[in-house]
Amino acid sequence: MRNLFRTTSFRLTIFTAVLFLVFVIVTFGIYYWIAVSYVYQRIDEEMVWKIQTLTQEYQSGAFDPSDPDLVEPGTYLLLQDASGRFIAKNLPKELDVQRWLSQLLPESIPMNNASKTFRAKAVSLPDGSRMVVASELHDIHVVNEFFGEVFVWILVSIVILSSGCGVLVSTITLRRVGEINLLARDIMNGHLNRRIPLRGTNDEFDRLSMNLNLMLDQIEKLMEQVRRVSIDVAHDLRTPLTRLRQRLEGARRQARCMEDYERAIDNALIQNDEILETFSALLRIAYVGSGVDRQRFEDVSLTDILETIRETYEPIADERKQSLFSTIESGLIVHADKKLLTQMIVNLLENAIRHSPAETQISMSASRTTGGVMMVVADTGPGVPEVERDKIFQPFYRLEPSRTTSGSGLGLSLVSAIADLHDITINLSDNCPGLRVTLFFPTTSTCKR
Amino acid sequence: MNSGSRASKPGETTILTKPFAFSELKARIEALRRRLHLQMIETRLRLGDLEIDLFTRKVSRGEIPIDLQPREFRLLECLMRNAERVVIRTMLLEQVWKFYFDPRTSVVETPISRLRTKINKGFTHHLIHVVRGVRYCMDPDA
Repeated sequence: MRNLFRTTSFRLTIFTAVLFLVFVIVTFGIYYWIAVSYVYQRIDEEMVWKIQTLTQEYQSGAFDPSDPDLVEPGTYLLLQDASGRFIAKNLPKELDVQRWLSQLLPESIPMNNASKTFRAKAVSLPDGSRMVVASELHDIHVVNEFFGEVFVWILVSIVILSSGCGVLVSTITLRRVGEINLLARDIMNGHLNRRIPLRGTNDEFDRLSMNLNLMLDQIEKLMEQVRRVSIDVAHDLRTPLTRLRQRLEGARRQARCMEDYERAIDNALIQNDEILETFSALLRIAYVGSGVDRQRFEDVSLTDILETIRETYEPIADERKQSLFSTIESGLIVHADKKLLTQMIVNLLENAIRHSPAETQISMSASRTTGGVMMVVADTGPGVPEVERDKIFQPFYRLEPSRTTSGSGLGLSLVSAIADLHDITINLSDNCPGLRVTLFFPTTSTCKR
Repeated sequence: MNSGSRASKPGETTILTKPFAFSELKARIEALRRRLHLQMIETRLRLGDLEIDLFTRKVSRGEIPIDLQPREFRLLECLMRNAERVVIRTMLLEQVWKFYFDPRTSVVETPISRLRTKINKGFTHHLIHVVRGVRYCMDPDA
């Protein structure tokens, strides 16, 4: 229950209730003021009429001070002639007649004393006489009582209703927040696949739950990636290390002369270098992924980079009986880290060269397009099956036919990391036959001048 | 892929990151020391009967001119400047190609073999030696 009062929704309800109360009080006040004014107006009208009648009677000589029905109960009269003699006087004792008369009130005023409230009106007659008519404000008391009672009831009902609403709304809120809290605990305890149930109402809780669920999906995906990379690293490094160990063991057992040992050591060094290279590649991917290199970005000529690469790789392709074509537009400038950009393009091109047989045609092109620069590296080699296209950027992922070729399986992961760093979009498609890699450099990354 | 070494600006500061091979560190230190010694502008480099002119970009061996591609010329120049010393593949990649990583294809091997063929054409004595696959050395006496 204490939790209930400490919820935001309860406080909000109470706040709203207080505001509503103020609103009711103001409305009530205005209504009361109008009602009281109306009562006053009626009393005043009656007194004016009384004064007029009595004045007429007095002036025509028909005035009889001893007439018991001269004034109604609750109404009082005072008549004084020019010499100061009281002709009629039935004002209650409580009223200070002298003060009234000395002030010669032209308008009606409320008169208060200990027990009763009066309203009085005084007039001076042409012959010097003065007349005062006073009325007990009994009607006003009735109005006050009525309003007071109603007001208390309204106050009580508002307090009860708003507290009830607060408790109700808070309970509903607490229940949904409670569900989320319970689930969060559950997830912390290792059930990362749990999700917050949606009610389909698309209210703020549903939207919050939806976003939390999406966040959980992302976290689960990342955790899965980390887990898989750790396993892959362990697996991919255990294999060459085991092989290295077997070779050294073999040399230890079988080597008979100095040359045998030297050969074994040379082989061990080469294998060792391969393992180190895998580590370096992993570190490089992590380094690129951290985004540190972004500070070193500058405007570099993509055309120059591609020309250098073309010139370097033409003989390599030649040697493998492959042909390398290139269509490179002049003057292409991109905002990038030159070394990383070169490495990314070389990795893609080398993939095309290394995983394609002889007679393959490899093409490299770059041109301006709407919103940036488009670059394509395409080959007519074996290609990548559609289902595997997303996976080849994952660390250590290798297509079945290329399992036996040398390489760490990290080349495309690095390409992906470098592309991410530069906001470059990579798209893989079928070159019919072969693989077509399309890189799009958006304008934001192409030139920041 | 990555050679484990990074140069912030080619020819200025070379940073070797761990892990690195001791042989690589040694080769790099020697290259730096030589660069300090040879600060004067050389226009001709000579090694045995091979001579290259850095100004006219002409190469000749024993009076016979040799025609080289620009990249081959820079490769030869780099090897000549480090004559009688072992040059590592990654150093050539950085200095001749400005590649700060380790390509997986024969980016260095193919031009080196072409260069060797061109330089040795008509001669029996080899000038460029390949040491254990990834290191090169120019030595007239070897």
